[in-house]
Amino acid sequence: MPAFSLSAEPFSPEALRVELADPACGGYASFEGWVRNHNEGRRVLRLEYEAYEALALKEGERIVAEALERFGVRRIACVHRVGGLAIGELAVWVGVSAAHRDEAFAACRYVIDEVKQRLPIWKKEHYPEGDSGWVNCERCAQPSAHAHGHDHVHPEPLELEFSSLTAARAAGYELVDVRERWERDADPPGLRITRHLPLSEYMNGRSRLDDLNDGGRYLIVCAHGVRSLALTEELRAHGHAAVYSLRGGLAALRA
Amino acid sequence: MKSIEVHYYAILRDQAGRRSEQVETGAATAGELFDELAVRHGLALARDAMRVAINDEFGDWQHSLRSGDRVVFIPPVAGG
Repeated sequence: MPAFSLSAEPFSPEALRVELADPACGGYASFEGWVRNHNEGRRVLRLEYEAYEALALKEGERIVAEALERFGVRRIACVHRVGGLAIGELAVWVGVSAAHRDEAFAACRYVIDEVKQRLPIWKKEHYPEGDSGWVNCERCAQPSAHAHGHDHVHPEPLELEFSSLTAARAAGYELVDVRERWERDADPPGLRITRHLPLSEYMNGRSRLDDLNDGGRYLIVCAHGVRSLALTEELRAHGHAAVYSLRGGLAALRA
Repeated sequence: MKSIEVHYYAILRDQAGRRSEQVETGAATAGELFDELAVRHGLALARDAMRVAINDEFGDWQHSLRSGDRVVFIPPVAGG
């Protein structure tokens, strides 16, 4: 059985868990991703996953190999569903066995995070209103691409959730850090967000954000998602359609 | 002219109205090929929000195309 696989049918983690058993292991950690009945403020009825199978299998194996190497765990397996899924169904499973629990948890977390960001797999949500949408794609589509075939207006959420800043950038958002300078000084070196506009400066003279109406999509970021949400509401009220607030702020990413 | 095998997934498959096609093109790079097909099929996805794969490996938009290459444009992913 390969360490990473795609399954067009429902599968039971129990059989896979047994495969990870090893007398040298004192810990086992697993993660299950389930189909949720809502996303970004809309009710969801069911999902379809579609994979670019040849590349997804290669990339999945690479992720597992990286986790084995990086965390020194004993065994890893990961299965991702493709095809149609109902609410509550198991969509992805990761299992890790290791000598000790710390590395089992860490490797499990690494695999699911990388799977979400790197695997060429797409998710189509079906909504009660009869329409559907490709997650993370619809906002990257140009206005002419609103292909639902009807003319209702989707309520745009103010807040968006991302697992990392990399994921937000990959989804096509330009990040705007509105924390104060002293807050940024304490950041770890890798975190720096290029575009910085302290909220205090915006409050002093509000012309500085006019260029946020240039057709791009902007994700406003602060420490806990409070200031960024307030600023997003303010900007929306002033006609900036494509600004969003990172829910929970940077603290949510580091948790 | 070269002959390139192009596969479409997810939102791009919906927009292109097909899963794959054989394209005769003068495009030198993967990026030029996407721009050409975006116009032909009305693909309304920004290139810088996507990745590209050539012969089942991630590549970049500057990748020089050769006849027989298999190209897949990769919209923002959403596994998990």
